[in-house]
Order: sequence, then C-alpha cells, then structure tokens
Amino acid sequence: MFSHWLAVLLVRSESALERARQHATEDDEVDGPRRSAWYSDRPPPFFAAVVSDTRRTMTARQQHDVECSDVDVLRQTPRLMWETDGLLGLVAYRAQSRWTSLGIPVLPRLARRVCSMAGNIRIDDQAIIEPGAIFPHGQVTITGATHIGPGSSIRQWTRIGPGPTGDAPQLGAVVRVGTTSEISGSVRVGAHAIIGANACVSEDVPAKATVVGDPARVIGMRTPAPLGTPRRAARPRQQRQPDRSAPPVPT
Amino acid sequence: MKVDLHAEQPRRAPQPNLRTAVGGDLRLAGRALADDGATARNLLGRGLRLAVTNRALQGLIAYRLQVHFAERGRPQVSRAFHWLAIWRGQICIGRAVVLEPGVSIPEGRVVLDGRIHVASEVVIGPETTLGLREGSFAAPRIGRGTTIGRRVSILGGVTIGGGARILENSVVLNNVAAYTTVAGRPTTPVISPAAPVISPATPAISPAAPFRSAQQTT
Repeated sequence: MFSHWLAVLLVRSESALERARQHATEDDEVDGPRRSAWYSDRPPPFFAAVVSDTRRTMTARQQHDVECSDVDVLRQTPRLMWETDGLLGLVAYRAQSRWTSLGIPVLPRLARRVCSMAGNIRIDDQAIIEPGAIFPHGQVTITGATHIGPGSSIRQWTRIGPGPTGDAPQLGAVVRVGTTSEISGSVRVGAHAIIGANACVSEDVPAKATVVGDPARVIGMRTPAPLGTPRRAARPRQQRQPDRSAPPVPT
Repeated sequence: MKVDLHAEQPRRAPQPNLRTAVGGDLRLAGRALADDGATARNLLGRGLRLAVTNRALQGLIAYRLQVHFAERGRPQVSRAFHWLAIWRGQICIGRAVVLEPGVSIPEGRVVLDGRIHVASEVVIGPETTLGLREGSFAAPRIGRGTTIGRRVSILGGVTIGGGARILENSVVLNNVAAYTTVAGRPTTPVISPAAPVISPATPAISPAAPFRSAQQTT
C-alpha cells in the first residue's frame, strides 16, 4: 500500500518537475510575455508541489543537494516547515487547493486559517501557484484567478490580484517579486522577470526584465542561467556532531 | 549570485537582556498612550495593561522571548516564540537582528532580517521591510528616534541618522542624514536638516499618533 502510494507520488512529481523544466527552457527563447501551453487550469498535484516547494526552500537556504531523492526531500519538509517562515503556509495552501478541488467541505477553510496564521499567507481558491514557489517570509496576499508560474519567489507585503475589471495577473516562470510590490489587473509578467521593491505593476512586463517604481518601468534586462543550474557546487552534508555525553577519548 | 557564507562577518552588538528590553518596550508603549510625565513604574503598568489587548505589543514581547531563548542556547523554544510573534503581531524578526530596549512597533506587520541594528525609541510602521539587498550581507542601521512610515522598504547597508523620518511608501537604498525627512523610491530628502521640523533640541519624537490609531482599529 505504502510503496504503491510512493510510486504514484514519485511518478507524479517527476512529471511535474519535467514539465516545469521544459517550460522554463521554452520560455528562455521567447522575448515577450505570452501564455504558454503549459499553464493549466487545475492546481498542481499535492505531493509533487510540496516536493518542489521544499526543494526551492532548500536551494534558498543553500542546503539543496541536486541528487537528493524526492523521498529524502519529503522527509525534510516538516523540519523546514518549522524552521522557515514561508513553507508551512505554502504547504497549508497546497492542502487548501487540493481539498477544494476534491470538493471536501470544511477542511479547505481550516487550511486557510492555518495558512493565514502561519506567516499570514492569504491565497484565494481560484488562484493557481505552480510547483516550486517560495515565500521567504510569508506575508503575501494573492486574490482572484491569479496564475503564478513555477519557481517564483514572492516576498513579503505583496498584493497580487485582479484590478477593477476583474482580470487577474499571469506571472511566468521563475519570476521574482520584491517586497511591498503590487501587481494588479490583467497583467502578464514574462519568465525570469524581477519586480523591484515597492513597484506597482499595471502593465505587461517582458521576460527577463527588471522593473521598479510606480508605475513600473523597465530598468534592465538580464541573462539568467537556465533553471536547474546549481549556483555553486553542493557542499558535502554536515557530519553528525559527536555525542557530547560520551566520555572524551584520552590521547 | 555568489555569496560566501564562510567569509568573516563583523560581530554584531550584544542582544539586550530580556528584562531591560521588555521593560523599555512597555514603558515606551505606555508613554505613547499619554505623554504626561508619569513615573517609570506607572508607565510600566500602563504598558502591561496595553499588552493585554494590543496584539502588536504581544508580538514584540514574544520576539524578546525569542531572542532570550536563542541567546541561552534553546533554538527550538526560540523558534516557538518566533511563531508566536508571527501569529500575534505579524512580527517576523530574524535572529541576527538587534533591537535595543524601547522600540515601538505600533501596528505590528514588520519583517526584519539580517544584521540590522535598531536603536531605541524607533517607531516602525506596518508593512515595513528592513533587510538585505542581493549579494551582500550589509544590513541597515537605524539611529535613535527615527520614525519609519507604513509600507517602507529599507534595503542594504544603509545608515539612517537619529531623528530621521521616512514617509510612507518609500524605498531607502542610500544613507539618510539625522533629522531629515525623506520620501520616494529611492528616497530623496523632502525636508533637509537645514530647516528641521523636528528640532535636534527635542529629545525624541512622540509616537503618540500611531498608537492611538492602532487602538481605534483593534
């Protein structure tokens, strides 16, 4: 039973990660923002998303080993939920969206309460966040049918949601949203874009652009490394500390 | 961005001890309620009464306990108080931050991370971020009696002089001189120290107004 569940989980997360990678490399070749075929209308599968999110958190903490299996990553998830500010809320949101799509009545509301208590993350049911997101300090409000691409990093005090017309923003892959920024209305943000602190985005942002200010203006374009490239060689895992209660060995 | 985590870091200032820190915070909160020259003991009582209902103050006290247990080598207890601070006051402060005794966070909702040093009698408004810029560990230093408005981001190794005012919705990326009022993204001086609104002779800015508004909303 357990192995069956594990096999299903691994296959699912493999395919989700594969799709995320494909998506990112496809978008690398595109200049302008666009709606990719990868965007789905359904929330991503729960465990695949949680594994991706945990990997993203570990990468941010420079603890990520690329060869680490999904099961190892899942074993790290509870620890990281306790030690980091954003992951607990994010996992609660994943549960919320999963239970909502299954049609379970009360549990999504409870998950939403947990989500908003742990790091004040408020995400509507209609919003879709692809796997591999990170909220470094929580404190994020995402409303309406907002779509956030894989590998995005959304910092604190941001508001992302529909404007007065009711159309929600679409964020591409690996977008980095800075603190206190606001994205509203039917805006498309291209892949690998960076949105600076306190920016108010109400028009489309091209891929790989850096925007700041109110209204946001482009101040630079960048050439990022493709997704999955390790920033630095993975450090060897720390050895377990010797037991302090054991008597010291005489030399 | 390559960041060498093993590079030599400057030592941060020592953390204030729990008693002094909580006492200072409660007294400042009590003085903000009514600046009528009450004795320190009365102010402490007033602060304690305020802490019964004020979630931001509860969050701040939880943060002080977080620091206390982190200093005594109890990381998990410290982490529990960190979550308590997030839950009660939406106050999310990293372990390298030093807040001197007597800091006012009237409405909570702040994120502070990195080797930040905040002097006493600083008022930090809601939805504020004090943190690092990418690629550097240099963190802001906030001088005594500074007022930081709502939705302000102070990023990178910025020094803010005492008695400065940072108006709302600004991004501070450069140093701010003492007793200057700044605004904008990035900030420019609005009122320079040549014609100070807050005269250097006045001891400190009274944080009365934000406290009263916090009370009305909650």
